[in-house]
Amino acid sequence: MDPASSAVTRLLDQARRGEPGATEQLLPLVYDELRRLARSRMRFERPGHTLQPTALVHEAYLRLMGAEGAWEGRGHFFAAAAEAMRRILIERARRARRLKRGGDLHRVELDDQVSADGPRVDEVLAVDEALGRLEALDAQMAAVVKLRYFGGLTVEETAQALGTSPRTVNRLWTGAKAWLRSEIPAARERTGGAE
Amino acid sequence: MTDQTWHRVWDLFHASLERNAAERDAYLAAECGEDQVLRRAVLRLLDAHDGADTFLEQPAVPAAVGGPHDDPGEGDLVGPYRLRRLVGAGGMGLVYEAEPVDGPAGRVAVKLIRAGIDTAQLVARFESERRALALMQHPNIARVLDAGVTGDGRSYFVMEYVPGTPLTEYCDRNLLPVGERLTLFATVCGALHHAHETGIIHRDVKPSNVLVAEEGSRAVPKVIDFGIAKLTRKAVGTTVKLTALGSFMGTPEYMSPEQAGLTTARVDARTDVFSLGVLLYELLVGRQPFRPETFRGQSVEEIRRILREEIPPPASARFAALAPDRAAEVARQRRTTPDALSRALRHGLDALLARAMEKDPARRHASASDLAAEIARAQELIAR
Repeated sequence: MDPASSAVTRLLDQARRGEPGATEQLLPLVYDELRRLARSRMRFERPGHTLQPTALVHEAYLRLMGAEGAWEGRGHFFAAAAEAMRRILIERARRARRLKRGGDLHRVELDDQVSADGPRVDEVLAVDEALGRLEALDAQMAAVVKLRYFGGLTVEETAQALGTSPRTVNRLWTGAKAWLRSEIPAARERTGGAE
Repeated sequence: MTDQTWHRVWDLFHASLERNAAERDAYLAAECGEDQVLRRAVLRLLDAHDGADTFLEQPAVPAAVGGPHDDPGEGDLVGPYRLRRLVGAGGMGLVYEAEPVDGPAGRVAVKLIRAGIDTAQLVARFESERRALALMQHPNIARVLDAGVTGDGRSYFVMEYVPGTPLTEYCDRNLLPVGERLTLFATVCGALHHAHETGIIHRDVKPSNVLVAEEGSRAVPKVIDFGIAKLTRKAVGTTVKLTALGSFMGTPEYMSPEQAGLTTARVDARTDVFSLGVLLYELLVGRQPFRPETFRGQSVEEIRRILREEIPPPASARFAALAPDRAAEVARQRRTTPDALSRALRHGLDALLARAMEKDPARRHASASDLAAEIARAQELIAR
């Protein structure tokens, strides 16, 4: 087992026992692994192929923990992974926006990519900004958004990560979406009136 | 906002969601009493919720992590199929000629659905329709063989490969007279009728989905993409943004009002009859019922209004309105004169086309075979 793996194992174990700070220390390790994975995907497979967040998170887990990894630790891992994904995504979204504004060369490609492949870069940044405010009001709601939207986790996985029921996750998710939408003016226009 | 108020807002929000719109107002009025701030906060969230069905449902990853798009090319693998060449591109994705890596050698068409569509849902739906699709056995239908998901999460469909040309193009290129066009078209009606009998509606009948292959000296029309429109549109369903709607809807030219979601009528065999009507119109007049600029650059609302309200000119009138040199060219492609073509249109074909393209499905031909039967009668009239 490489050093990163054993560190992750130890930290997950500590997180499970509720030791303070364990989750925070877990973050940079997971972050590095996810970034590395994302980068190698883009370099060695085909640049531009979309990455499936869940697949990435699961793969990172397998790589760090091995197939027989402590499955009970998965919830903490998901939480750290979702936060890491959020940071990676925001970093990239900011860069994409800079490129879009700066260089003509990239503009068309990025517009194509954005319209074909999912939410707009601007939306990702706007959600993240509003999410900061939501976190101050309701940490649990914000956590659900991170796991679902940034981590790409399913309702069940989110429930596992938060140690709660899928029903509660659904309730928090419904509320968080409504709140965020009411806070992001562009989101109201964009999704309003769609079929 | 205090913690207490925050939780109160959410309790009222979720309790309101369990009530219907009519009950909500009374419920909130009773619960909030004089507290207008509380009531407004809940209403604001309810309002946001009502329009939020698509909001955030797609994870953020594709937008930020996916780089500029790079589609697979020759030699690449999609599932267990090796791509040979790109043969087409449409709103839904790219179509390749390909061959299975293992198993018997042979050509298939692989349709790679573009990213951003719920692949899991798409494949699940395919599995649920697989048996129905397998029931279709018809020489004029290209069979859908398989579906799957690529390593990077895009879904694909595998179909019988048809080395052919779109029906309209084939007829024009080979200067087919009206009679032969009608005969080919009636064969297409027969294929659709067969599918309808097995319970499958095509939902995307248009020239590029009706190919003509040459088998020996025979021209064999084949309908491709059966069932795929339903699978993809449903999977796109709630995740599609308004701005992207146009490309996902496909070309509005062939779309019936009920299919555009404008009436309460269900999509059934008569939906395909409508699209067949538009296709036949084009096959005969060389133009679609509406001028191309009718839809171009229009808002989705305006397109829907046109589909719901505007009745296109009769085929003969559309033809009569063409500039003389254009009309002469259309007639030449049918090995006839403008006068003779105009007469053929007026004698039976105008009425038949108008009926197939009725806004109300109840007024159309009840089935594709009814349409074929009326075409046969029109052919007799024209021949006389």
